[in-house]
Amino acid sequence: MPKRTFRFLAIFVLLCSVSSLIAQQKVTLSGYIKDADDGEALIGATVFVRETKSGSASNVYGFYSVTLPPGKYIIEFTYVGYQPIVKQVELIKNQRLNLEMAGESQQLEEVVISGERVDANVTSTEMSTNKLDIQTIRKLPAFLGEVDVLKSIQLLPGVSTVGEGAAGFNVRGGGVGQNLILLDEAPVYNSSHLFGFFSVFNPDAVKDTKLYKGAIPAQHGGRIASLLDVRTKEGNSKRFEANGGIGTVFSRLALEAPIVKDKSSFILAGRRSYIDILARPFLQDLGDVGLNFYDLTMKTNYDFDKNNRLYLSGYFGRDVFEFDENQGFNWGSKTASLRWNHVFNARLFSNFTAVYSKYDYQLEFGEDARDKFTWDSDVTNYMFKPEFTYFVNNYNEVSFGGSFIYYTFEPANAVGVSAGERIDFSLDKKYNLESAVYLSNKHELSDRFSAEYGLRYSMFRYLGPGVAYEYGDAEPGERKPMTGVKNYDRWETIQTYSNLEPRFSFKYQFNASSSIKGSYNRMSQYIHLVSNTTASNPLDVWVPSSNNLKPQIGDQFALGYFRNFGEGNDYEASVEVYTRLAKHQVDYIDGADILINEYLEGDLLSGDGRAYGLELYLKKNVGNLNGWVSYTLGRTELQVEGINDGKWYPTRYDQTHNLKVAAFYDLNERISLSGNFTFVTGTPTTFPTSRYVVQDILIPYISDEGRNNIRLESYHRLDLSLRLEGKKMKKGKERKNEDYWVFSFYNVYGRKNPFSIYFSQDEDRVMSGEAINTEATRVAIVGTIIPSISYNFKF
Amino acid sequence: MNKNILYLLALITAASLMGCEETVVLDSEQVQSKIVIEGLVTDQEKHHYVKVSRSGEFYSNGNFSGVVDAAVTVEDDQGNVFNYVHNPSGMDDEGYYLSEDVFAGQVGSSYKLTVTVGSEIYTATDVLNPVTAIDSLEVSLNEEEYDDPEDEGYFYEILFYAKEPQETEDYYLFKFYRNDSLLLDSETDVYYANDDLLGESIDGIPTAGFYKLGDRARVEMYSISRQGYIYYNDLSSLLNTDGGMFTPPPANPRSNLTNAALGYFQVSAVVSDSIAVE
Repeated sequence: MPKRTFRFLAIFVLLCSVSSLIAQQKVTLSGYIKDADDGEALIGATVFVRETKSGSASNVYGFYSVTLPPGKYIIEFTYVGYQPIVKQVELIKNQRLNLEMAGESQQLEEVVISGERVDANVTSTEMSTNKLDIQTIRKLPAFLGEVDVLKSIQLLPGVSTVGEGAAGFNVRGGGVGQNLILLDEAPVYNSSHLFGFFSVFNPDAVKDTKLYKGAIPAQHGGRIASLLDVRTKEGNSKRFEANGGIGTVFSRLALEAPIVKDKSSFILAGRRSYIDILARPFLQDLGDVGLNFYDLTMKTNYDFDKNNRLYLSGYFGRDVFEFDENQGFNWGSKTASLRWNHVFNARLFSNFTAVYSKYDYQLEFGEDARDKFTWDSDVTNYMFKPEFTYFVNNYNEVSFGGSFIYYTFEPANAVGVSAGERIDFSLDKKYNLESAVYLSNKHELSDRFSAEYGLRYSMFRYLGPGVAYEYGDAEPGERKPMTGVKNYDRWETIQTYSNLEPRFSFKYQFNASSSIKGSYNRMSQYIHLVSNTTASNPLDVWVPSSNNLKPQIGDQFALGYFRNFGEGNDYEASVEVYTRLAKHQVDYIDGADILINEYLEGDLLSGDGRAYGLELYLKKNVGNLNGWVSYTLGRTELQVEGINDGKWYPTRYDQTHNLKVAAFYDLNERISLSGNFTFVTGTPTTFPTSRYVVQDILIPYISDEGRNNIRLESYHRLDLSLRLEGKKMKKGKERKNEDYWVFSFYNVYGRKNPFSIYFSQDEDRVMSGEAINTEATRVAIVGTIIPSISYNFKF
Repeated sequence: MNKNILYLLALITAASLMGCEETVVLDSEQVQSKIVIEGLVTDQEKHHYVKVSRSGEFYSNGNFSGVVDAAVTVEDDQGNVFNYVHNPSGMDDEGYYLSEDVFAGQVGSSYKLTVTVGSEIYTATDVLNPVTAIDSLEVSLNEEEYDDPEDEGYFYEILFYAKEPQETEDYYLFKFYRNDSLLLDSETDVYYANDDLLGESIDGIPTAGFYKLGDRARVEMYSISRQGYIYYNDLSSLLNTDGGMFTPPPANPRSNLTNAALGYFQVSAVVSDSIAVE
């Protein structure tokens, strides 16, 4: 263990012991906050102590803890969309107070005081984060009638995508593979169904999503651009509940129920698309094409006692393309996570997570068993993550813990059969261990000033058994020659990297309605998504750092001004600027072979990245008409020796202007309307600049400085939807079931938004000396308005 | 092998693109023209050719300008130098150079092309690898095509038989002719192969295109070097970009020419066979 790790641990221990010393004459109020209706834990509910004007918030498991000198206090519990609760508490010794909060529409027995609207936008130290609860996501117009988590976060400032048909999303100029996506703590390596039209997150099972675009806490690491934290529901612990829908693309059904009332519950949510049935008429000339996806999300939990809870969640999903019995392509993820919440004492909360996650794809084609080719590839990981939160006092909340991930990469398990002869193309598996420890503190220094500071130490080992290749130098942009081969035994270390990742953010509050926030964080990323295609797709290759491939390092600085307006903070506004600098960004030489290439690392190049931008956000929280406007002015570039003559060039997802508007209007009790509008500058793409003829073949030529040299036309699109609630009463009686219809229109004015432009030649091959036309062809994935309808129910 | 993967991906792209394609006109950039060189030396005794031209603007139409005042020589690794002269018969296009003397490339030898245009010198070296023999060709009626021919009467295909030497790493380029005109399934096709997926017996692999009764089919098989394979592989990817989600950004083919000249200098052993469709 390196020396600095020791020093780190020493500080860590010291800090903890000092803290507990200081806090000895105090008592602690702690507990869980739940939804009164279905027993779901409430994430981020605020706990405010009137006397001390200080507070805390419930964590992702709904646990809160406040430590105060003994005495009488009035404590307010608030959560957006819920009736606030005010409690008078006499604290003599440590006390447990579990609460159930009721939604605003529900009647409740607790004393109701119309408290102030939660103003976390201004008061929280967090910046560059966006939280979308499932209620908001549900209100947005949906593509093909289905709401989607990833489609929704793309309406937030700083988030973009290359276009329809592109999987994943880009945050603040980062690549698709630079986002850490967690589903109940399990990393998800491909978040898309159907090439990005839908995401793997089933909205029926999702409780909460939070996107960190910057100021990522020390607890998380491993990707340099962002963190998307998706949490699923625990399942209704009060009574049986079923949610479902029948739509144009797929049907869904989610069941949840208590197993042991108020102690244990489960949720089981599934979806299956039938796009293959619908698309059949259009695909006739392609034969019997099968095209579908399905997924299953499940979770169960058990409350052993007031100090111990267990959560088990899992996801399984696949996309399938089938051309005939011998040819097809499918991909999907499996995740499982087991979490144990243990409350050591009122001030020390812990969570232990064990995770299994796997992403794989399989390709198969050929004529018959004597002539065929099969290929599968996967990335699998096992993770253990102990995490602790120590509520030191009202002003300090210390988090510490670690994370240990064991990876297995199977780049290609490929076999070809030609005229009955079997040829194996498989590549060796790669093994890696990524570990990290962290320590951070949320520190309230005064009424106005608070800070969160932390340090993460991460380490990555490339382990045997395996063959490590060494490569020599080559002209920039050319394939590097292999100069050496070394064999390693099992568990032998081939290469080790380690990084210290400081994280810091602060808030200074001018008054109740405005504050300034700033942050700096360094992130390191040890596994890389290598893609040589226009947009990210399911075949993109994840490769670990190695003796040839260095870990990516990203530094981000952000500064923001946050302001709330109006009575009771009706409006929230923010302005943020950011700069990101990244090292060891992966690119590849022209003509690189990404698929099944044993010497892939000889084709890879390493460069620098930079991105900067301005984000504006205005949100109206109340009234019949509400919604938000978000605008991003941004730039993201790469500089790689050997590409574009070594000069900076814009990335494929560089979008200068990015404007999104989302609006919701409640027409009456039963009808609500929503709309969203997107305007994005066209993304850059590479296009030939000249042409020449060799052997009578017309060949386009791309100039040496031609990487991403032209821009596609601007992308803009309007979506609208209407939601019609089913009647509440039937024949004078209240109905037991709730249901609603959603009518939605995607791409209302039918714009053919370009996805790419490619070179093509006109008609016949040129004969010597004869003139031929060179053409540019523009591809749009969606070229018309897409209407859809879905029927949804709950009982 | 990867070509097959790409074929499948193209199918997926076609299946998943419900959208549409349109021809658009882009603002063309002013880019300096570059020297383009192509040349072929085979193991046949003949006047071999080299063509020197310049690239044109993307939207330029009309003839490509041949370079008429280049000095062209080919030298083998034995020190023999072959001089080339511009269009000696006056029958060919501008930019065509033919070797002064007839000569045949030798298997195992390497050849160096030197082209001098003004003060700029361009060179390329390639090696002449052996090529395996074509055992036979066979005419066969394709039933699917017979039931639904794309062109009336064209439903015969030519099957190709050969022995692939397993101990060597070989690369091939194929050209198919129907009555002496080049035949392609699609305009952007290039027929090339490595032997990764080939067993020893090549038993009746169908060649490109279909034939009618009375046609004459000819198959030419060229040996190419590894760099030749890379060039044709890159070329094929470039010509076949379809703008879909599996398409990489276009990239220039890697060539054996120095000084940033475009094109390729190829040295090959060649065998051919022909058959009448009866």
